[in-house]
Amino acid sequence: MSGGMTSEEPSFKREMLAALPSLRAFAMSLIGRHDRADDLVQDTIMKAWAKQDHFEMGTNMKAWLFTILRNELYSQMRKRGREVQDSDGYFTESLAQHPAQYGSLDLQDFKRALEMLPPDQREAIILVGASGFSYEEAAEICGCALGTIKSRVNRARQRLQEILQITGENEYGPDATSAPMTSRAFVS
Amino acid sequence: MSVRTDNPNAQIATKLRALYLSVQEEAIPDRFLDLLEKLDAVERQSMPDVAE
Repeated sequence: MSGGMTSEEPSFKREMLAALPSLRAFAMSLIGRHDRADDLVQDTIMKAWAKQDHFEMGTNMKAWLFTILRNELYSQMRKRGREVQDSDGYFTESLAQHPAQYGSLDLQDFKRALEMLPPDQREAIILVGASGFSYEEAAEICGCALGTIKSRVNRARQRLQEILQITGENEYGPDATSAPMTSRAFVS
Repeated sequence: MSVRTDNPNAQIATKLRALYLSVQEEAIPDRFLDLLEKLDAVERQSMPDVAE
């Protein structure tokens, strides 16, 4: 994605804006909750802004931002201990919070399945399967070897298949306890 | 409703993208637009010769 720029000089801010929708989607796919995802995006914007001298205009802004976001997420997770990593309840309530967003039950099932992946597998399959990065770019973003990314993506696929076959048979519908919280945050 | 087809990977890929796109297609929340405006404004103030 480039070239959509007007004839004005490319600005850091403008490029950042262009990458934001995808950055939010990445954060949301990793974390599973809009509020936390957007907090992380905000932290990422601040960090990136402070480091803008390190960014070379014309290089891949999106990959640069994704790298910052990812590092920020993991450093926050380390600070908070295991709490964040624990899938128990962490993603779950967002299904009920934003039912409209994930449309079909099918997608909600998928979201739950994604949540059950180990974080390294989850980010790998998101980067390659949804964000549009190559394996090479994903490896760079995650700071690991190409082969590692490939094997994480493969394991993620296998695991998702297993999970979806299992959960397809029972009911992970929207959850009555948190349903009343629906649509407060993002309706306006 | 079953996810078993002859190509489960394609199913997974489609759903993953659908989930991702559902967020990507949202409008950028005002909080981020405001934040960038502020950062930009602060920067201009601190750099006298960068007029525009």
